[in-house]
Amino acid sequence: MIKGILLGLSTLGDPAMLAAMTAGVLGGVIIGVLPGLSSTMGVALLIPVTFSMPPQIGLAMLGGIYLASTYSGAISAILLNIPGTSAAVATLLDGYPLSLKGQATRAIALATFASCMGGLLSVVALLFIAPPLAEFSLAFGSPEYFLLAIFGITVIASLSAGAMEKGLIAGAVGLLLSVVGSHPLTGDMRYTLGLPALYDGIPLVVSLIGLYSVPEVIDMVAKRRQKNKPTCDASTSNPFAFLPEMLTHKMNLVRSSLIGIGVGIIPGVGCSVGGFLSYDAAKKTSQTPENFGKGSTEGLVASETANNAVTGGTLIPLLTLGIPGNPVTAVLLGGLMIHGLRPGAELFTLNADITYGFIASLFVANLLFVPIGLLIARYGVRVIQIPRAILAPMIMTLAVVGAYAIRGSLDDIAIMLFVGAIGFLFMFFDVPRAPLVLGLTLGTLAEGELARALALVHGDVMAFAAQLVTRPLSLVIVLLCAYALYQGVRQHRKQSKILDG
Amino acid sequence: MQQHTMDKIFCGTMVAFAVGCGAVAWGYPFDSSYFPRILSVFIAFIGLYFGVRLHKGNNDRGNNDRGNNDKLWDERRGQAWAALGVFGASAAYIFALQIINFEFSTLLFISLFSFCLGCRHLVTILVVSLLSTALLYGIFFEFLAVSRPESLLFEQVGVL
Repeated sequence: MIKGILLGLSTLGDPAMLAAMTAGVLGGVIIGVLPGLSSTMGVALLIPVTFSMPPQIGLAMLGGIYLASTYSGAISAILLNIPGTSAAVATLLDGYPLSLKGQATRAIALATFASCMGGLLSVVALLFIAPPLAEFSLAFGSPEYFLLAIFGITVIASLSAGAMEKGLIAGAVGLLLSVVGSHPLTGDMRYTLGLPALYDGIPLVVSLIGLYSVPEVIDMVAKRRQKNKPTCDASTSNPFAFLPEMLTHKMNLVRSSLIGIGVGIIPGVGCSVGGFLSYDAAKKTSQTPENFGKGSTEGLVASETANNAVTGGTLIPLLTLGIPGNPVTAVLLGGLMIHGLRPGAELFTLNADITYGFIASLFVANLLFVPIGLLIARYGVRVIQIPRAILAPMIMTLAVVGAYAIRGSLDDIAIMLFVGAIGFLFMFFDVPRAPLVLGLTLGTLAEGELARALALVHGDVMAFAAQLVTRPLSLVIVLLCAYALYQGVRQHRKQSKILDG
Repeated sequence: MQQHTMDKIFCGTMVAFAVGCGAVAWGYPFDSSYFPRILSVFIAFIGLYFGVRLHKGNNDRGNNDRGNNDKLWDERRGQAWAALGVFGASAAYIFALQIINFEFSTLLFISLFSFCLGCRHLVTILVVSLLSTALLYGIFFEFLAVSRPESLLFEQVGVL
C-alpha cells in the first residue's frame, strides 16, 4: 500500500494533473453554487471532455468536480436559502439564519473549512479501507456480483423519496434499458430495432448525460422567470480569520466525519442524509441545543463536515466492488469504464498508479476548493444570478456536443434525447431517477454475472437458487437485500402515517 | 390534477410498457431473454400492485386540497410545454448540424433559444453564443481532436 501511495503522490507533480484538478474544482464550485445544476449533471457533462485525457488526469478532474460541487451547494444555501445541491439541505437550517444576522462570511468560512476537514478524513478512510476490501472482493463469484448489483438497486429504490413501488419500477426500467444490445454470452440482439447504433447497447455515458441534463434544462425552462436574489453578500471580512474558531469544533468534526463516511459506504443513502444525521447527533450532544435552527455554528459545521465526508465513503464500494452508492458515483463508474478501468482488486494492483493517483488528487482537491470556494463566494455572488434563459441553451449545447463526442456519432445525440425524454417523464410523474441510473449502470454487470452463474450450473435454475442460499457470502447479500426492502416498507409506512396524521 | 391521478397514469404506462417489452422478449430465444422476461413480469406486477393500492387509498382520501392540486397541475403543464420546446429546439439543432455546419448551427441555437426564453439583451446573447461556440469548438474539435459532424453546406468553412 505504501508503494501505491508513493506512486499516487508522484503523479501529483505532473502540471497537467494540477491543471485538471484546478479546472475540476473551479467547475465544481460553479456548478454547486448554481441552484438547479447538480453534481451528477456536472460530472456527466464533463466525462466527454476527459475522454481523451490520460485516465489519472481525467479522473482527477471528475473527482474535483464531485467534491467541489458537493461543498459549494452550501454557498447558495447560506446566501439564498436555496441549497445549490441536495447535499446542502441540512446546511440551510443554520447557514441562512447566520446570514440574516449579517454573518454570511463567518458561515461560509466555517462551512468551507468543515467541508474540507470532512472531505480530507473521508479520503484517508478511502485510502485505508478500500485496498483490503478490494482484496476481499476476490472471494466474490458470479452469484455474489449479481446479488451485489441487485442489492445496490434495492437499497436505493427502497430508500428513495415517495412510494417504494416507484423506486422499484425505476430500478427495473433501468435494468431493462441496460439489456438493449447483444446478450453477454449468446450474442443475440435484443430491442435494437435494427439500428447499428444500438448493437453495443445504450452507451452509458450518453444516457447519463441525457438523464441528468435534459430534465434539468426542461425544469429551468419551465421556471425561467424565477430569479435568485441573494439577501446578503459575503464580501465583508477575511474568511481565514474564522479558522481558529473552526478548531474549537474538534469533536463535532470527528463525529460528523465518521457519520458521513459510514453513510457514504452504504449504497443509496446519500450526502443529504449524512448531513441530517450528523446535524441531529450534534444537536443531541450540544450544550446549547436551543440555538439549532437559529444560526448555530455547531449545526452548520456538523452538516457540512458530514456531507463532504460522504464523498470519500461512496467511493469505497465503487472502487472495490463496482457498486455506486449514489447517482454521482454511478456516473463516475461510467468515467472509470470509459477509461477501460474495472473496479475491484485489479484497480489496486495492476492500475495502482491510476487509482492511488486518483485518491491523492482527491486529497488535493479537498484543499483546493478552500481558496477557490472562498474566492467565488466573496466576489462571485453574481454567478448565482446568471439568468436561466442564458444557462439552459448553454447546458443543452454542451449535452448535445458531449453526447456526439463520445463516438463521433449523431445517432448518440438521438439516444441522449430519448433517454432524456425518459428522465423527463420520471421527473413529470415524480419518480426518483437515482434507481433508474443505478439500474442502467449495474444492469450489464447483473445480466452478465447472472448468465455466467447460470452457465456454471448448466442452466439449472434450481441449482442456481440453491447457490444463493448455500454460499455464505451470497446468503449474507440476500439477507441484506431483504433487510433493505423491510426498511423501505417500514420507512414508507411511517411516512404515510405522518401524512395521514 | 392530483398526485394520485398522476401516479395512476404512471402505473398504467408502466404496465403497458412492461407488456410491450415482455411481448418482444418472448419472441427472442429463451437463453438470451430470460432477464428481460423476468424484468417485464416484475414491472407489470409492481405496477399493478401499486395501481390497486392507489385505487384503494384514493377511496379513503378526500379531494379537499384544491389549491395544491391546481398548483401541481400548473407546474406539470409548464413542464410539458417546456419539454416540447426543448425537444423541438434540440431536433432543429440536430437537423441544422447536418445541413449547415457546427459553428453556425450552435451560434444560431444558443442565440435563438436564449431569445425565445425571454433574454432581450442582444449584446449579451451575441457575446454568450459566440464565446460558447468558440469554447466548445476549442475543447472538442481542437483540444480533444473529435471530428466535426459532417454537414451538407459550409463543410470546409470554419467560423473560428
